[in-house]
Amino acid sequence: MRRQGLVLPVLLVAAWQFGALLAGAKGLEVTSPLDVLRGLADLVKGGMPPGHRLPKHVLYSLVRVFLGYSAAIASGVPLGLALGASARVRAFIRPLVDFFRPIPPLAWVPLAIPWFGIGVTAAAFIIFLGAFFPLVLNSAAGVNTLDPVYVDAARTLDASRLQIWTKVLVPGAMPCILTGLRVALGIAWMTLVAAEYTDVREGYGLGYMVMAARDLQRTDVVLAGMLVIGVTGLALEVGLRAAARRILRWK
Amino acid sequence: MNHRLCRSLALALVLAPVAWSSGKARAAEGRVRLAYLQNDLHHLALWVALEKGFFREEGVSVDIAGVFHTGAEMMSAFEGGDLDMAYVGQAPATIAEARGRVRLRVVALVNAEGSAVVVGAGAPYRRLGDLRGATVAMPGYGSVQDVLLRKAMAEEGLGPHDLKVIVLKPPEMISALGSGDIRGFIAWEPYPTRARAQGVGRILVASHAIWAGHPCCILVAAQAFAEAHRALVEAVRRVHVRATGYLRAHPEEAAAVAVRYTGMDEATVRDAMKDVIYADELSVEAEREMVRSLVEQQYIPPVDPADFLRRFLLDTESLAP
Amino acid sequence: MGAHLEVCGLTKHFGANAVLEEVSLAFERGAFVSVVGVSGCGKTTLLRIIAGLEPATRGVVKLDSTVVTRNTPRIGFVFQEHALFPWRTTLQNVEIGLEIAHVPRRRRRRAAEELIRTFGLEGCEGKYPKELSGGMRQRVAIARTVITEPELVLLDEPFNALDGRLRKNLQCFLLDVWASRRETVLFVTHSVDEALFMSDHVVVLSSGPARVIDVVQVDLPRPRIPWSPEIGRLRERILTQLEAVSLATSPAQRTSR
Repeated sequence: MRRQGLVLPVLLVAAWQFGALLAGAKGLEVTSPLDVLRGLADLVKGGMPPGHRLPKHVLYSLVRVFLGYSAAIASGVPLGLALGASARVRAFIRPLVDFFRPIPPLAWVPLAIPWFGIGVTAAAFIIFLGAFFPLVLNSAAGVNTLDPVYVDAARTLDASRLQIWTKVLVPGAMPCILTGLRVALGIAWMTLVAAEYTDVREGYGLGYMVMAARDLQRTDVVLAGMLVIGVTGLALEVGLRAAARRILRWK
Repeated sequence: MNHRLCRSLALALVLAPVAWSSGKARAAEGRVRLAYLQNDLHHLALWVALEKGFFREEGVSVDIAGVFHTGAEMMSAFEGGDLDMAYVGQAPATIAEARGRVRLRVVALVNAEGSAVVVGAGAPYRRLGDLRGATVAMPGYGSVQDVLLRKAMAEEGLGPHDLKVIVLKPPEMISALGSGDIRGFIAWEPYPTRARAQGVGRILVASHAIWAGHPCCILVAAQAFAEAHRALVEAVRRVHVRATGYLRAHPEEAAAVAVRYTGMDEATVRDAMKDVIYADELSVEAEREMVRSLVEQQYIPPVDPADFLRRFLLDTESLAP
Repeated sequence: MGAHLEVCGLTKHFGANAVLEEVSLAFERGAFVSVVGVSGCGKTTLLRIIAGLEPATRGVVKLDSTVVTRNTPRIGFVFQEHALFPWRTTLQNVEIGLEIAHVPRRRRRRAAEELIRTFGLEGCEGKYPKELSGGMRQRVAIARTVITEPELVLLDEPFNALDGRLRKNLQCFLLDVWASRRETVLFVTHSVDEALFMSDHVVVLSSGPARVIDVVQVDLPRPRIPWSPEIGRLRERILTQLEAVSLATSPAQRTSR
């Protein structure tokens, strides 16, 4: 299956390179895959903006995602579990969640900057908003869709309420929680790049890097940057998937 | 009722591509798709021309096809074929042309100078060199302000990493300065004057002191458009020249127009206008210096300024034989 | 009198729907009691109320003369679909009752391992429920329930999903477990044969709402021979009563309700 998945991308890239060569012969400027590779080398050696090299961009982006994502997990999963378990909590909280959820995280930027300044916290906040809602909803679904017989079984084994939570509800909801984690990570990563386009005090970040390349009309570097963003996002996703497989090996 | 709705939607869907493609044919009827930068006092001549109806008097129909935040964004629009002419910063246009992303022709100068380095109102800095190690903001990589800043840094003996240069949108620069997130910024008028008026900042170095008479914004046309509709381009240039002359002769009236386009009070606008040189004639020597600076700062690949300008400037180019 | 399990006038209404009506039973300690009735007659509800999973509308349940209203470690429950926690291994499932009671790890591990051995589940300690066969799962479910040594074990049609030889094996297995531990057992089934094979007493319930029609004593030595004439007579007695119940709740009667 791995091999078949590579066929199309390889063909597309080859066709692209060929097309770019043809266009170049005609005097048109088209960025080719080779240009992108050269742009990638540029990012590592010279950096974009000049002097800001790739590894530090990746590091800063990862830190921002980590902060926002962790905060979303710490607050979203417990809230989601509570929503799923208690009709009363649902009655109070659900309307608020439903109201805020459709607001795109980036729409909060004009508020985030005055509240948090232009440092890491503002970007982490935007990412937090993106990751928060999928975590809440999936965690709630995890509790809701859990077969009630497991809770009954725990009760007949004389479990206390806390024990029902720790030994039944949380492990039982784990498949949905992990789904939420995966969805949230994807959204967090996408939000991050756009959130980093502007107001980045540190001067480092993958989104910032791509924006600078765009401003300097370096399409090759823009594409190389997108490639890095895609690969890094993929690596995160693969890592999470592997962790999920381990945790859910009972399924 | 449902039927009618469906039919209207279907009609809209069918007509949409037609409308879209007809947009490309606009120039034929004497229409120009024009763009300018948001809140950029340098583009006052255009605003005056629009308000006084100068375009109409020349028989030119102007569609404001976009109001952009940065010159780089505007270049993307040119690349996509959505603009015919624009008021834009010299540097972003030159970079896009040098990198082969667009084919533009410079029609006229719009303004010279009119930017400044601003620091906190109470800060003790006396020259740019005092900001060593501090965080300074500018509107974008490859903007005129970016070029100026690096020129100033070189003159002060600051290496490219001796200042932490970051990108901020000009409206955010003032609050970032106030909160201490940055120690200084460089931006086009009216932002420096506004910072001063709000008591948040003071001008450390005016762009005049960095490079006297430097070109800032220019009027450009897409090369294809200039070739196909030269007369139209010339008409727009005439309007621009007239508007530039008008605003120099009637600064109060021009200031009132600027108030409408920037949303700022008249006193601040009048103050800001003092630092901008509104002129329509390009200085070839200044143009050469701009190209040289961009090459030196490695924003464009090495190129002979004279060769480059021969292609880039509309008037020194010899069109089809 | 020394009855271990007493059910006194147990009544359950779900809104306007009467499910149980005045169910009264009493059994001595260590009795193996089956409850039979047509499907959906309320047998499960009866079991759930005794277990403390649901409240009764009227009536009480007493264990050793103490009233029982909520779940207690004295009462264990084996569910129809085993309800083993899928995210726990066999060992972890079996020991969970002791884990909940805060028994230290080494002790509960040892107890669980021994029980697993006794139940013939060696080798399954590290396996997850999805890797076990139906018969094995039910044995694990029973192990999970008895490890805390409850006085009363409730089983809700535990062998429903099995048949033939496998079902027989598990019936014998359960009898062995009971013989060595002698808890009181309340075993719900819709198979009259199963009830007669296993129990000391068989409670026959009507339906809509459930009432006790009969309690049949089965004073025969084990292992019982299913085709023996004594069993045959008892079977006929019970089946006739159930038949009467069916007729009483025939379609004509049911629609008129």
